[in-house]
Amino acid sequence: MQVSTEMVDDVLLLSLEGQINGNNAASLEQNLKTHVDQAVYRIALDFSGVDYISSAGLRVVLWLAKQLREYTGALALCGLRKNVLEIFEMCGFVDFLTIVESREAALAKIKSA
Amino acid sequence: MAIHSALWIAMALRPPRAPPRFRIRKMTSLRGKILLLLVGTVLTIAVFVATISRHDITQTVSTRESRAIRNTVELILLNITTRWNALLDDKIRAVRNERAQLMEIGGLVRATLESYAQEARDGLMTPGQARSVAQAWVNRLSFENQRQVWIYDRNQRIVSSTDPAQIGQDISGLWDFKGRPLAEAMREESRAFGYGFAIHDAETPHGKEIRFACFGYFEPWDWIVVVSDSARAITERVDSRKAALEAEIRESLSSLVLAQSGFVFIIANDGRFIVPPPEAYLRWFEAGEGDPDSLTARLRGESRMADASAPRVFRFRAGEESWRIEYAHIRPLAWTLVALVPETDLILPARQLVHRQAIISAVILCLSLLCAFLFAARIARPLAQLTGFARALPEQDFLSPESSVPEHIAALPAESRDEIGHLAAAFLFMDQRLRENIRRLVLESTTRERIESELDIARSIQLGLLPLPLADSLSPFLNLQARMLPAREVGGDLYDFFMLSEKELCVAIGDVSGKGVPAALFMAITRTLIRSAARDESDPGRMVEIINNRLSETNPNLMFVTLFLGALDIESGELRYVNAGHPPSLVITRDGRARRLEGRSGPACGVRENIRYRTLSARLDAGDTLLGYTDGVTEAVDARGEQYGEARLLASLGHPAKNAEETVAALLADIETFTAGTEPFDDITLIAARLS
Repeated sequence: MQVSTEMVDDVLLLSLEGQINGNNAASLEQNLKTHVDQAVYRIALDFSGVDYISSAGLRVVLWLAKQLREYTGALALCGLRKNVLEIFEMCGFVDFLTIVESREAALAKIKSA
Repeated sequence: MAIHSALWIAMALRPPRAPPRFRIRKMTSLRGKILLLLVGTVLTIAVFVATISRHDITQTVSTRESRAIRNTVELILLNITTRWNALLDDKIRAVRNERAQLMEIGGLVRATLESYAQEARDGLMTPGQARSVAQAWVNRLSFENQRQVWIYDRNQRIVSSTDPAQIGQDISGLWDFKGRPLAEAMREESRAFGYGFAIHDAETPHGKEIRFACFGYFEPWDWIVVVSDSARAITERVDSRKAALEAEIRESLSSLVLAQSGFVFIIANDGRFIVPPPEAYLRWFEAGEGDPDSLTARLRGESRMADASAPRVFRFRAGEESWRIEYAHIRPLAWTLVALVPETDLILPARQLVHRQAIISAVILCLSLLCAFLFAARIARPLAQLTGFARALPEQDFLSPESSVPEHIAALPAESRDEIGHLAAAFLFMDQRLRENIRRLVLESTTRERIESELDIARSIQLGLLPLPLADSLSPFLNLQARMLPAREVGGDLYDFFMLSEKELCVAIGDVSGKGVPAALFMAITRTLIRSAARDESDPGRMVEIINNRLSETNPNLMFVTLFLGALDIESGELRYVNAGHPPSLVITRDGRARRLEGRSGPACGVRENIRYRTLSARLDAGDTLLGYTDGVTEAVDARGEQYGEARLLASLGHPAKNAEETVAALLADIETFTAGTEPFDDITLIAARLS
């Protein structure tokens, strides 16, 4: 999995690529933790490059959402492919997370939060 | 365990079989190679130098020897020529002296004649009287030695002479040494210059002799006054001097030795030896007189070609021996000086030099071999020590922190700072790292073994959490089979089944996020919560609510579990169920048609508290099978990375099965065929309950 970061105004945009599974979930969590530790609380995750996410990956996303909520930040997910979205839906997490289609929508959501 | 590991490592390090006793073969050893290289180099240089220099040295030395011989010959030539010139000078001086005496006498005679002529002119006498008186005076003259005075007139007749026998002789037939008619030529010469000299033969009472004469012209009477003397005294004197010269040369040259055994001889043109060769070589001149290859023949042949008096050289073979012959003609003496030196004499010094050189080379070779031997031994000794050290490595106990490197090996890097020192340092470094690595390896393997054994225990505990088979009394109603295949030692999947009441079976299947020990712990909690919730509640929705709240209370890592929990009335086939984020369970009819139990009750458990879970319901007919599975089934991948998927799952279930065991076994076999050759990626769990 590859992660590329980009700051759009005060929002950190992370573009994820590849599979998020049990093998790399820990490193993704570590990556996100460094941003949170640097007081970056407004984060957008671009999933357009992700073709699979396992339950371990879901846990990291949930953990990030909870962290940002505690720091009154905001998280938005965008560009989810159909099968990835289905995984979120099946586990019933779409209600807990802000999931939008486009990157712009995600940034707008975060700014309005 | 640790001891076992150490033993195993020691066995691995030990060579497979006892190595042959370490032995250096002479020519393959470093020492042997260095010696061989040195011997080769020195020998090559020696042979090369000897070959190259041998020719040069021979050339140089023999040239030097030849030059020495040439110098000797030239010296002898010079000596002979000088002596000969002295002899000639002496002769010329004698002749000049004689000439002066003859001229003086001639002058006296002419003066006397003049006095007679004057008397005639004065009229004291008639000219005829005067001539007669003068003739009588001359006739009376007498000398002690062979001197004579005589006068001839224009008719070339002797008019007066101290030798009475000559008077009246006609001398027109006499010729001088230069081939001129004596009387006429001398008359002309003396008339022109006042006097003249000539040498001529004369008949005397003692026989024929050479005479030396001075001619003077007496103009008044047109007479020629001749004063002559015998030349014998001079020639005798010259001959005796020449004989003395020959004797001296013979004496000095007969003892001369050129080079080692060369000699000199002088032969006159008439074949007489002035200086004879040593007696041993006389036969060359006797026997081979007529032979064109003989030395005299060669000399004669050579002398015909030679016109200069500079020494010339040619080679002459006499039997086995080859001689260098240097010769020169001494023209005034009509001699030939010959110097003979055997060729071997010329080469001998060169041979001796080359021989000495060879001996010096051999000594140098031996010395350098000795040095090289010692040097090589010095180089090879630490290498041998290192080799021994390396061979002894497997015998060492690498677990002891104390390094057992021998002192002489440990001191090597400091002792020698060359490649050997570096090698020794590398050995020591290797020993140290080997020691560290093996200790770490042993430690790690100990740790891993501990973890493995702990995981083994955890696995058996986890398997112990799985439900016991249902009571036999239920088998007329129900047939149930469940399987859990963890991808690792312990898994994050769970299943459970138990009777809620006499006729209601609780079936649960769940999947914890992640894998391994954390998932297994979370799974154990969940499984316990299911049982405890079932004690208080009978509604699946309420049960899951309780489970979710308990899990969410303390869950900092936000782990979650997807759950399907159903309560099946084994008599009526009524099914009340909850799906909390889990893949939909299936109902398979007796003839193999499968349908999903659609609908979601809520999200996966453990994420957020106080969520209501909707209880859904369905109905199973007799022979229908309720099948719950985790996503390890649909997400199992084959070698190409393709997922097993729901479509394959449904297709696999299409084959009617007799009972739940068969359904589960057939499905697992199909998955195994599909994933053949790949590592299991996720836990696979199946639970099947078939109504009779």
